[in-house]
Amino acid sequence: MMKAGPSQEDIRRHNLGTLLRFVHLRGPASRATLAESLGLNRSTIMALTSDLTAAGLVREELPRGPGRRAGRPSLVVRPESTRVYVLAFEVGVDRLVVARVGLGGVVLDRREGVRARGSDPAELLGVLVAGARSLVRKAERDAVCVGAALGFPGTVRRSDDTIMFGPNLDVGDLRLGDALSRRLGLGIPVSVCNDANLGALAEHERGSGVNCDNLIYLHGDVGIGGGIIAHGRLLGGDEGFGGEIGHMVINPGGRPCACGSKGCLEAEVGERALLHHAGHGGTPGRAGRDAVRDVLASADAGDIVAREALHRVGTWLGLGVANLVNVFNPGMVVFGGTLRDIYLGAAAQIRSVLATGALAAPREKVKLRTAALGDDTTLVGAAEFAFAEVLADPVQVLTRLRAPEDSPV
Amino acid sequence: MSTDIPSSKEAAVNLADSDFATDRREHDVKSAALDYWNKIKAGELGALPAILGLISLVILFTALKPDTFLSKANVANLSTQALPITLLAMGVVFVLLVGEIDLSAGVASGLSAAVMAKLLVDGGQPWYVTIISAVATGIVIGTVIGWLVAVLRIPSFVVTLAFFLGLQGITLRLIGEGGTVPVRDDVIVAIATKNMPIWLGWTLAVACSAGYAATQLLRWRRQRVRGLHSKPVQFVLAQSGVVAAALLISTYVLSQDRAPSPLITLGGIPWGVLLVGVLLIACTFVLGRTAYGRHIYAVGGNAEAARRAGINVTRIRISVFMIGSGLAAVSGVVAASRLNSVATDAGGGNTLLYAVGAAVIGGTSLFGGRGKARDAILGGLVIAIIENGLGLLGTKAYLSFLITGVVLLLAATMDALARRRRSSAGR
Amino acid sequence: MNAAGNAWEPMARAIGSPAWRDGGSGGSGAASAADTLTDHDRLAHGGGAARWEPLGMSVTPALDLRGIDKSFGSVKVLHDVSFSAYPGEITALVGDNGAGKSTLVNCIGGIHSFDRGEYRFEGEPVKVSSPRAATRLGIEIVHQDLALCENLDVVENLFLGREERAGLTLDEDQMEETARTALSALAVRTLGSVRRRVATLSGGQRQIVAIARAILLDAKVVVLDEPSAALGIAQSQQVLEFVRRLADKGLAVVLISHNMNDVFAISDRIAALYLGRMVAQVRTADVTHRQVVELITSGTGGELGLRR
Repeated sequence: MMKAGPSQEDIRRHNLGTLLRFVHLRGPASRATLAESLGLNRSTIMALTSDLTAAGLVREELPRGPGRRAGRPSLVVRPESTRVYVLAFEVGVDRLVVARVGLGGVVLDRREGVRARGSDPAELLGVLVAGARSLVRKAERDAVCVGAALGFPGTVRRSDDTIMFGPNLDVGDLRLGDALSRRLGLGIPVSVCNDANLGALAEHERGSGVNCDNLIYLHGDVGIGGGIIAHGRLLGGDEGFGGEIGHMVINPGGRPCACGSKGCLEAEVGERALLHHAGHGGTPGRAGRDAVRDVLASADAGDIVAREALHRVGTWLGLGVANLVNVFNPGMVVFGGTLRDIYLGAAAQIRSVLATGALAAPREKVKLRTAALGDDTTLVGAAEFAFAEVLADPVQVLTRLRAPEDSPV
Repeated sequence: MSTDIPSSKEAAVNLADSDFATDRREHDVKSAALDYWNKIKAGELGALPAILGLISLVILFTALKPDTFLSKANVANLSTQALPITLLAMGVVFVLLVGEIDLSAGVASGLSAAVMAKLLVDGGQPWYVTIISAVATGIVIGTVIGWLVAVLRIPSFVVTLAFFLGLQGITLRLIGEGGTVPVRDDVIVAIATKNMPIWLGWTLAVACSAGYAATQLLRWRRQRVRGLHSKPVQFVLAQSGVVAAALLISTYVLSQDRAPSPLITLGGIPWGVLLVGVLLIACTFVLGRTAYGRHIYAVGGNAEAARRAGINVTRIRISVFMIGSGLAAVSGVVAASRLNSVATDAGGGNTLLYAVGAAVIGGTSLFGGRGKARDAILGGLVIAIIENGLGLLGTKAYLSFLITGVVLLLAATMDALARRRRSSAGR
Repeated sequence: MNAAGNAWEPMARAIGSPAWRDGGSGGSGAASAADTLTDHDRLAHGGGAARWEPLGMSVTPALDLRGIDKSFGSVKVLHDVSFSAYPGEITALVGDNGAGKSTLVNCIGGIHSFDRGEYRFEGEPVKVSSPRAATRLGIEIVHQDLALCENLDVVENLFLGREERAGLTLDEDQMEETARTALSALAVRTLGSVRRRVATLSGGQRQIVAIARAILLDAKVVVLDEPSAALGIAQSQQVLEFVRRLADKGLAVVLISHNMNDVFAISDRIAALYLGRMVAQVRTADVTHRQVVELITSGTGGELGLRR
């Protein structure tokens, strides 16, 4: 179908989305601020906000507090955080999180559970559904769920959301999204995404990289995941498998990796490698974040084995980052998950390797940062992903979802 | 099951603790109660020990002396007995707040009273001149002590110990060995011995209860509207209720006819109680709502930090001694009014220890930085009840001293232990 | 022109070498030092004194000390030290004990006066003769002993000595609101409540309150003396990330630290003092751990530092 240009309706839809996106990401804003930031005139802003208000997506109110006392205060447009929400799922190797996230990015409520390593993936679904149902039950009566997304530590085919491979979470060919959507029965699909890709999205939109359009996010869990944002968009590749930085081979013939290769970044820098080098490998019961922190604390206290372990891991990580810097010339590299701890604990080594291993031109300006969203990068990313549809076409989506009911109050 | 998701609140509460953005600004009863419990566990006891002490002492003495302790006459007597201690303690609170001590407050009150009495008797001055002179005497004493402590940095206990001795000498010189000066001025005598009309007592009690509740509720509303940290409304209401109940019940008891003979009527709130009430409100306001008060706490908490923040520490130190001795002078006037005379040993003996004890029992820390004006009232009542109760029981003097000493030590121990709790609660 | 030629080299190079210093006044020595720092700045000589003309994208340093000499009596502590801190960047000041870090910081904060040299703030020559003068300019120093009142809560500490008033009384609501806004702008998520007493906070949280207090009212430069010393892993991470955010908000941060991991983790530039001389001020991206350690311990590292 060919069109001469965007129709009036297209422009309106675009503007509605842009305005909603603005208050969703930047928080409540006055009409004056909106007009200025979006480059629209005030009457357009007023028309758009009244449409969004009618759809129950935003509300307008007088600014709180004294603020400027003189003059007529401009009405503040706030997202309807408690009435429009998404469900965000995070499936980690060690933990499961389900959260109800309101428009504007507010985590309204969450359920969190510890997941023992090597437990049956079939149980997974039941637990996620139970958590989500209890969240939905607690929601306000007139609240509407506008989307759902799940972050998963594995490779996911974009076309049909099929999990192709989860090396650290043995699930194999699984269509978790469809199953979850069916069991929830909310009439919304559940998208499934790679966790580190979501992390990259989250850090780009709400974290360290808000003003950076070319960033690389590295996420450490048991494995190492990655997400690449180029020109403000997630780099997915042909089928959406892109960004698997963890399986970039940096040490040919090195430690064996769960993926079958040897010397992947994950194999040399991941949790197992660090714990192995630190001699903590055999200790049962201590895994994940706590074990990594233990190594850092030992190193801080002067333990030479732990320091040596961090030094080795730091060297490989520095090499990996050097390669990324040379290939992508990112403005920022963000370390999340356990890599956040490892970066802060081995920064001297990582940056030394980077200084000698990367080209001077892309290296000069690259910023190395830790994830500002802490442990919630995947969860926030999942929420952002779930909001994507409603932000693209706010009124249409709302109308469809509220269809069985009468018009919103 | 290897996986489970905790059913409800726990995760949400953890989130609220960890995430500043979702900082709990409005508390519900449960979270506020939990906060309070945590505070107590961390050694922030506040007025709790004093209130518990007060209740248990009342129960104890009522059990031991059922017919006399809670009699109308004794309750009225108790209220005037507590007046001078309370006023002295209120001054001591200011000095303790900056982490100093004033051992001369008692004798300063005695000297100020002596100045007043001499001016009345020998000078023939009107009552207001004498009272102003007494308070001025107190303030001058406080200024000198404050200057020695704040500028020369002589430890306050040494300075005030020297004043403790020296001022007694001046009082002795003023009044003459072994003598007493009678105080017969109607107005001054009325402070501690005359009562206000019953209608006025009720009016003031109702007004104060309503005023307290109104300020608390207005503040709560303002905080809620602006999205600030606020207590749950149930707490605010309960607090206002307790204050109102305390005010109205004591007004009721004091308004009863307590005359020993049926021929005359004697009832109402003593005027001195009004004086204490006004000063309590004033001191609470100064300490809690003004920058000056905030700076007093800061100097007591960390003088170096206060200095770096640009606070004139010297001026604060001098001023608290001025306030301390000024209030001591007022206390001296009230004591003279109650006894109708000023003796050479006025304000000596255990007066000062009672006042310090009252402040500490009330919850003011000996280490500085913690305390409120109301501590003086609560602690003063505890001390007065002990003194009064032991008197009723006819306890021997040595036992009286022992018991009061033990109570003071107990309060100081509690203060020290709470401080240790506090310093280990952080980190 | 020797110095100018050096300025266009891609990597920051040795500064303060004897050959330059002997060539002219302290000012020119300092100028050549700063020369190697901003790649786009150009040295222009006018009337004997070195002047700087920023070019294109270059940023004026918020803080710019040149050719500072400082002696205590006959003891010479700082010799021809030049030091700059840029807005939006963290400049780590490293050096052994006795290298002169504290003296330099005290000169920055107006606690000490210096014998010779130039002090520029946002490009303008200024005289900072007292801590108060430094504060007025927007230069704050957070010392290791934090100077907080433990008996007061977070808001009360943040506003201590500069309380907002409404008539006679304190404007508690306004202060709480301002504190809340300021802390959320810095993404401080870990204090629990702004009405908590400082006594109940952890060491890391206290550090954050102390820093927040320093920058609450329009600070432009903040000097942090070992902010993560004596803290556990989790807490020092928290403080480091907080410091990084401060700089990302546009503040010029000077970080004094002995911990090379901390320095490399968050700093943008490293300034190394060795026996009272500034032996290098370089981009963190350009140096290795080994070089910095050598600069600290021997004054030279690779092609950096003092020329022997």
